[in-house]
Amino acid sequence: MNKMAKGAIATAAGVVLLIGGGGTLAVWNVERESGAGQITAGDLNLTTEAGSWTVLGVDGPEEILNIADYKIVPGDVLTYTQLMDVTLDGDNLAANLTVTSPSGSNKDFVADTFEVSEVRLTKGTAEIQNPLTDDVTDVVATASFEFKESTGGRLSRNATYNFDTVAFKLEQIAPAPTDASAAPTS
Amino acid sequence: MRTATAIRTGMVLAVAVVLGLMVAPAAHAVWSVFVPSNVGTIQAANFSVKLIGSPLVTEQEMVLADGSPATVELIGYGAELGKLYPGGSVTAGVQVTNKTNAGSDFNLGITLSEPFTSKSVLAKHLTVDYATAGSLETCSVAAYGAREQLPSIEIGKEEAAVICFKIGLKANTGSDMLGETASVEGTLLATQIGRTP
Repeated sequence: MNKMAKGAIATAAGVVLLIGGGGTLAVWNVERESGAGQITAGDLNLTTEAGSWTVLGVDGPEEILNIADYKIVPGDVLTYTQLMDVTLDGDNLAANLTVTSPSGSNKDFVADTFEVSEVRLTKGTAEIQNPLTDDVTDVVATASFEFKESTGGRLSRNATYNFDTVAFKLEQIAPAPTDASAAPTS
Repeated sequence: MRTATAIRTGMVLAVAVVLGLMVAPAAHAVWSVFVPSNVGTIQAANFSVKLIGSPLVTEQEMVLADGSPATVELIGYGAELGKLYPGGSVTAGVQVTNKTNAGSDFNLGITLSEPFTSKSVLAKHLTVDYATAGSLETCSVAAYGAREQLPSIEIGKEEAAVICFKIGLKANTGSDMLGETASVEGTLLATQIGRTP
């Protein structure tokens, strides 16, 4: 055989060895599931029912269908009630429930002709205690307005008292670092 | 010089970092939900009382826009107020209407002051009697009596009451009073009647 034929045979033999050697590339390995699991976010929510005003009548409280259409007169005592539910779903979740602009604003009611209580939040008979850390149902927002019967002359006629800016805010408190989240010591 | 600049730059950066650290907690975003309420606006009613002395004239507010009381001139029925004769009488009335826009009950009590007769020589020959009636037109047939005998007048929302007057000239009035004039004035007072819960 000439030199070229010998070289071709040697090359072919090397290629065959390489192809044949593929079966010997396996090495030790092992696979395990991590167990890290799935991360699920919680929830923070505030749902409110429609509030309503009542006026104290001869036979007790009478509901006012639409406060925008109702004109009060001296002697009227109005009470506002609104129910709301707080959802706090989270293992490290706390929040404050507060009232924005609870006092409303007076326009033209003469001093001493009215008495108003700011909007407050209660659960049962007690004030809401912040921070909240769990769901709370049937939180009650209340307010009252009395047009005093002692109002003389025609004082405060056509006056208005505006609660339009009143709102309810449920805000998470920034979570404090826990022991579990602290950096490990070396 | 280069060292001093470097130190100044370092101090500025340090201050900026400290300020950043101090401000950062305020900007810490957390969950929150904001729900507007429907508490709404409370509105006081007006105090509107309308007076009219005759269906032929326009009703007017008892209190004028400037706060002064309105004056209603009464117009006689059956006979003109200006044509009295001894032993005769004429009648007139004023209708008071409660026009409040109050949301709840709002009743008015109406009282009439002791009438004031002008200091005319005719005044002592005049008599004034009072009555209530269902309308101005029926003042001529109302049952008249002294002012003190007027029943209490209470007017509900959108309701009206009529107070009638009968002006008489005494039968023994002499002819020397012929052509004399006098005016009779009274004051109406409207007051909200309080409710008893």
